[in-house]
Amino acid sequence: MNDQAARQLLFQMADDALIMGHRNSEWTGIGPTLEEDIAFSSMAQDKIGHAYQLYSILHRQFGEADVDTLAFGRKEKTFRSCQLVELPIGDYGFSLMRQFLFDSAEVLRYTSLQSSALTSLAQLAVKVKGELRYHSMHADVWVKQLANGTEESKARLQTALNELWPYALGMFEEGDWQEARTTAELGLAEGRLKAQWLELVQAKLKGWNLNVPSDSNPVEGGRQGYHSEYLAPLLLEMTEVFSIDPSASW
Amino acid sequence: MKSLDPRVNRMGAEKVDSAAADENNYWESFEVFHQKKTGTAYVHVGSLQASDHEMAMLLAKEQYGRRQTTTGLWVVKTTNVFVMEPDEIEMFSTTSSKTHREAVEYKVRDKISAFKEKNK
Amino acid sequence: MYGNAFVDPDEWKKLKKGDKTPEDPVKLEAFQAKIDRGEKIEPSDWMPKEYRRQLIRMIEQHANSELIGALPEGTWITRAPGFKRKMAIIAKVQDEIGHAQLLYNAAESLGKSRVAMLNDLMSGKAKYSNVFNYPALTWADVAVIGFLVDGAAIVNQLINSKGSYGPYCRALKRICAEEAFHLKQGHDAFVALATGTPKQQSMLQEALNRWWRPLIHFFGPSDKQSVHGETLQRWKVKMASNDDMRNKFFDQYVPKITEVGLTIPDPELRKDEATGEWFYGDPDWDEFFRVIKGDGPCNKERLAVRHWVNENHQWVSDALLRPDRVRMVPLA
Repeated sequence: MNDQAARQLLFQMADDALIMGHRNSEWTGIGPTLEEDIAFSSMAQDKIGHAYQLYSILHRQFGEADVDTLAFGRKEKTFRSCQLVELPIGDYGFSLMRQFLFDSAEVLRYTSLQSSALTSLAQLAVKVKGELRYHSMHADVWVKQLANGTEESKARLQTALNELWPYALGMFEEGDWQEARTTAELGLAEGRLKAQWLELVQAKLKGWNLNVPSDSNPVEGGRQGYHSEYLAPLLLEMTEVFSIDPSASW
Repeated sequence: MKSLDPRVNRMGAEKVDSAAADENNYWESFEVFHQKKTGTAYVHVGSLQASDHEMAMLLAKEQYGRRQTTTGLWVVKTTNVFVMEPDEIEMFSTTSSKTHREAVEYKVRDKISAFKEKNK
Repeated sequence: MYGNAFVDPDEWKKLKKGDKTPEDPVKLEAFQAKIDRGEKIEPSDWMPKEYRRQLIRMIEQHANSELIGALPEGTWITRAPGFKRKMAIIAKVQDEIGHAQLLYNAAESLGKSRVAMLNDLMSGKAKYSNVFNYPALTWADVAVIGFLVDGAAIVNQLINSKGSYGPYCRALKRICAEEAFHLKQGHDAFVALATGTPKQQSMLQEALNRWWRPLIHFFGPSDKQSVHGETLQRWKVKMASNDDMRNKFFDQYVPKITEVGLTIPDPELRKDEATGEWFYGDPDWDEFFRVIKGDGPCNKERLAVRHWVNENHQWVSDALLRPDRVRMVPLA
C-alpha cells in the first residue's frame, strides 16, 4: 500500500465529512419539523464523528498533528474536501438533495473500503456501516416523498438537483497519488466509484420522476486544494473561538 | 437586524409578521413503541408527527432511539390505538380477593413435609 | 365498550380565562382525592377546566422555552472550539429540540394542537422563559448557559416531574435524564475556562456578570404571598414557590461557582445559615417585566427566527399532507 495515497484518501474523506457535518449542523434548531430537526442533527454529528475517526488514523499512523489541530488549525489550501460539501445549506430541499448525492457515494466508498489493506480504515468502514445506512435511507425517503409531493416541492428538488449535479460529479475528482489507487488496497478508485454511483443515483432519481441533468462538467479542484468561495469563510467561522488561543484547552 | 449568530445573518430573518400556519395542515400523529433488549416487551415511549408510516419510522429512530440502546421499534397511527375509557377502569375492582390466582396461595411444601414425616 | 382515545382537539378553545362556571362538586372531589393519593391524571380523565387551562399554559410555555432555548446556544454552534465541544453543543441543542417535541406532545394531549401552539409562539401570545431573550456574546456565555441556566432548569424540572399530570411527568422524567449530560458538559466547559488562561478566565467572569441577573429572574418574582397559587399547589400543578426553587439553586450552584475562583456579581448575596435562606440584591424586577412584554435584547430576533422557520419550511409540510389524514390527539 502506498502511504501517500492513503494519506491523500484519508484527508479527502475526513475533510468531506467534517465540512458536510458542519454544514448540516447549521440546521440544528431551525429545521422544518421538530422530529426532522433531531434526525438531521444526529446525522451531522455522525459525520463530524467520522471526520474525527479519520483524522485520528492520520494522527496515530501517519504522524500528522492531533485531531483538533487537523480540523481547526489548517489553512484552506491544505483542505482536500470536494466543493459539493462547501456550498451553503440553501433551502431544505437543497440540503436533502446534497445529502442524497453525497451519502450515496459514501455508502459505496466505505463498502469498498471494508477490505482495505489499511486495517484501521477497513475497521472504520465496518463500524460506520449502520450509520451510513440510516443517512442514505433518510435521504431516499425524503427526496422520494418531496419529489412526489406538490408542484412546488417537486420544482424545488429539481432545481436543487440541477445546481448540485456538477458539484456531485466533482466528488470523484482524481487527486494526487491516484495512480497508486488502482489496486483495491484503498477501496475503489474514483473512476470506478463514479460509475457505480451514477448507476445507483440515476436509477433512483428517475424512479422518483426527477430529471438527471445531462452533459455537465464536473466542478473539480477541491481534491487539490482549489476550493469554492465558501470554504475560506466557513473555516474562519468554524475556528473563530479555537484560534483565540489554539494552545489553550477549551 | 444584525445577529450574533452567523446562521441567522445568512438566513436574513427580519420579518416578525409571517402569516400563521394553517391549523388544518397537520401531519398525522403516531405512537412509538421501543424495545431496549431482545426478549423484553416493547414499551410505549411517546408520540410523533409524520407524513406516513415510512417517515414515522425514520423519525422515531432518532427521537426515541438515539439516547438509549434499541433492539426494535414499532410505530402505529394514534388513530389505530383503542383504549379503555377511564370510567371503565372500575371493572378491575373485584369483590373478593382472588388469591386462587396467586402462587403463594398454594403451599404444597407443607403437605409434602407432613407426608414424608408420616411415612418415615 | 372500547372507544378510541379521544380528547377533543378543540377542547382548549373552549377554555376561557377566568371562567367561573362551577365544576361538578362530586367529580371535583374525586379528582382531588386521586391527586391526594399520589395518583396521576391521564389525558382522557375528567379534569377541572382551570386545571386543563393552567397545564396547557405551563407545558406549552415550557415547550416554547426549549424551542427558543436552542437559539442562544445555537449562536455558537458553528464556532465551537475543538471536536469535543463541537459535538457536544450540537447534541445539546438537538436535545433541546427533542425536549420541545416531547413537551408539545404532552401539551397536545390536553387538546391544543402543535400548529396552534407554534402560531401562538410566533404571534407573541404564548410566552417562553425570559432568560432566552438575552444574547450569548461570546463562547463563555455558552459555558454559563450550559452550566447555570441548565442547572436552574433542572431544579425546576425535577420538582415539576413530581406533579400530577401523567404525560408531563413522563416527558420530564426523560428530560431530566438527558439534562444530566447537559449539566455535565456545561460544567466541563465552564471549568475548562475557569481553570484556563487569564483570557479565558476573564471571558467567563464577564459572561457570568451578564447572566447573573437573568438567572435570578429565571425563577420569577417572589410568590410566597400569592393566594392564586394555592389551588395550583393543591392540584400539584405548581410544586414549589419561586423563592424555594431559587433558594435551592443558590444552595447547589453558588459553591460551584466560587470554588473555581469566580466572583458572583452581587455583593449583597449571602446565606442566613440559621434559616438556610439566601438574600440577594435587588435584581431590578422592572427589567424582568419589560422583557416579558417583549422589550428584551433579543425578543425580536428570537421571534424573527421562528417566523423565518414558519415561512421557509411551510412548503415541506404542505408537500407531504396526506388527504386521508385524521386529526388525533397523541397519547403522549
